[in-house]
Amino acid sequence: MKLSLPLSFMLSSLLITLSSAAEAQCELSPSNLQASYQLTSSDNSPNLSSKNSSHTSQLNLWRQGNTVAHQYPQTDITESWFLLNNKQIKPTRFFDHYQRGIEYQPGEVVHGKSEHDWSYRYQFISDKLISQLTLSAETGKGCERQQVLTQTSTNSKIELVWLPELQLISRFSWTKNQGKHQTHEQWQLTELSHDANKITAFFKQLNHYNMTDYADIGDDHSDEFLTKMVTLGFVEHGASGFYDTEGKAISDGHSH
Amino acid sequence: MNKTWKASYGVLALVISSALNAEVLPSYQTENAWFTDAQSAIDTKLDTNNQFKAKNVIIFVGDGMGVSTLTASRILQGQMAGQPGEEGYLSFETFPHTALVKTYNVDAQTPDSAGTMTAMMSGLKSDAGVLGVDEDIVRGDCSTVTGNEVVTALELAEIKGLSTGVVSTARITHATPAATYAKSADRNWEDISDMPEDAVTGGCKDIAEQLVNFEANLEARFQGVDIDGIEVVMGGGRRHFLPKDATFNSADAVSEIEGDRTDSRDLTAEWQAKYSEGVYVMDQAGFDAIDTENTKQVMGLFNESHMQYEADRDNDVAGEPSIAEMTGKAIDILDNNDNGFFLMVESGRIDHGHHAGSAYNALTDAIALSDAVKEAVAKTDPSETLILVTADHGHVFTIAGYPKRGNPILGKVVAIGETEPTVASDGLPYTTLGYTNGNGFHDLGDETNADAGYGEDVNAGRQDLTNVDTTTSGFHQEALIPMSSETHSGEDITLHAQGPGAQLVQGVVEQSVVFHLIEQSLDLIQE
Repeated sequence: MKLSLPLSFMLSSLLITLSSAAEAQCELSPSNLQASYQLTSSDNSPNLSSKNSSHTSQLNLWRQGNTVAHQYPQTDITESWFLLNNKQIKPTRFFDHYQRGIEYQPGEVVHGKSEHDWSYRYQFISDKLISQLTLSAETGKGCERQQVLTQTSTNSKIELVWLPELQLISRFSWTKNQGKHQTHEQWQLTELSHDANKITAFFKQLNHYNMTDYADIGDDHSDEFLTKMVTLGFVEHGASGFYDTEGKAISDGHSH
Repeated sequence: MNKTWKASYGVLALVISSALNAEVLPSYQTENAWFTDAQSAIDTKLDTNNQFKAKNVIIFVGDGMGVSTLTASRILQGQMAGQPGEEGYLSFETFPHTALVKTYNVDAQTPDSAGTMTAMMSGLKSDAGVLGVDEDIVRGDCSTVTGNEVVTALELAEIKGLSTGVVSTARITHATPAATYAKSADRNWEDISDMPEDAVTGGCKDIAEQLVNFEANLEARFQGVDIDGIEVVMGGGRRHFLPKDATFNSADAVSEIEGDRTDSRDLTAEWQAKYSEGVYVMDQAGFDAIDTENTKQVMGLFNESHMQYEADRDNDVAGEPSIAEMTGKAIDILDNNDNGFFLMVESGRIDHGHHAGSAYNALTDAIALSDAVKEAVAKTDPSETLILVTADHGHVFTIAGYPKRGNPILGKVVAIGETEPTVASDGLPYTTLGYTNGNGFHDLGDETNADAGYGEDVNAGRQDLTNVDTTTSGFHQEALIPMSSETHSGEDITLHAQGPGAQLVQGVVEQSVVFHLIEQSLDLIQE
């Protein structure tokens, strides 16, 4: 099932098909889904030549069992993480254009971040940060149950519309004011699918990429792809404003 | 005759030495510890044995262990023991015979491990990137393999009835170990999923498959030959032996699907079916439980990919043995054969540490190799076992500046008589160790896996290290030229030897001479 409408409408439509019993509890699995987000960041700075700078991009979230993937269509890069039984997290970076991938060791530092918080990758927002927000409203039942969580300080405001049954962001906005300088970011869920075939096909495609253990990057300097990696950069450089300096708030204060 | 000559020469040398000492040199010179130690070293060399034939041969290969790595490792080893460091030796540096080895491949000035190990195992130089084939091969072209396969020392040892072993801290299908048993137009064909379609349809076999079917393949190539297969196989690389199916995952798996094979074959099961008296193990507990006196064959695959760096070994999911432990266990199994044995042990991750720009990991793995050699020396009789220790190539790894004696080898240069770091002409301090090229500086704190550097952007060039502790395990040295990873170097490496036939290790030699040293000692071809 693929939906391309506003979330409230999506979930309303979804629930029509569910039984009344199911309305009380969500029967959709949070561990098998695909969610698309539109990310908008704006920067209203008096110092910028263009005083209202804004940027929009797309990000897809894929989950299948203990694997979660973040797909960045703009950069043809997908990052995925696999949660091991011992709770270690194994990162993998896929270069979709080249159909190549780099496998990293579980628990190691990748681009300045050692993966220890599964919730951060699974949900885009860590459980720890969610726990720091204040519940201001709650509506709906079953899969449609949503919570509005906020945090307001002198210079910034966070508002999260959260779908607890699906462990999914419906909308996230973050505004920061520094004098006349205002930075704003917004995440909006635009599509949600639980189509098992589609999800399986996505991960199957990744599994067919030519993979390289990151320990082997130095082994073969005749491999043009590995040499080219130098200029491909990391997702953080090519994606939305989410990972930009100010966007780190969503990741539980992590900085790199 | 040799003994008479040796004794006469020894007496003459002592007489001359004593006479010179008594008449010419002042006592403060002749009684100086440096002087007496050096004289003692000469006396030891005069006592060198002249036996040329060995029962056993063990060759250790430190992948990427160039001369600067040896120097820095021995200093680090000493400093970790509370000494200044420079005065010590790695275990094999006390061997009586040493040679310099030219490492180039037939088609490359700076070589790779596949071409260099082919030279050492088969007695001729070949191209970079190919295994167990001569220079007429075209890399990546399966159709050029047939007719260009060469025979290895391990194969000849098997045919002679010796026990054989291959041990590596890298994947057992990686270039260095693979050159002992495989023939491949490309070192990267570690399992069938790594091979192009035309290579598969052309009849070429992946490296893991060749290891498991080594016995049958060798018997097919030599009519009338009946061998019993490689007795000891230990290393990493389980992924190349298992099907791409999560149901085959081991308890040590770190991937959702551990195996890479796309032909649905479980080569670990096939190996166990072939060798019903053999033992397949995949973790420390299994390794510890091996009964070396009664086990005929062992296949130990201790990691999905490469085994951990020595400094990172505690982080293995199911636990894995050290290179010294594997060496000891291998010898204990192989020496059950009264005919003797041939064993190749590779420290595969010295190379990886350097590629990642981490001197710490490279040096600590080199020290672990030194410990493994020490274990081999302790478990064998020097009158019947030739032990060779060498590298396949070097790295662009330098020991620079004018640090004072005992200055931390992983630290910043502090000049003689000084306590603060010396600054370069840019006003910034600099480390003794550095790389000509590579990924460059990273400060990853207490990280013990060098490969974590690949998770960072290239950061070559000068950095301000004023407030950086460069002696931590997670420090990656500066590099001049930006590259995705640091590269091999083209200068000579060393070969160290003790035991029967070691006397022939001298001068500057081509890398292919290594095979001939092994062959000479074991008489592999003559018989």
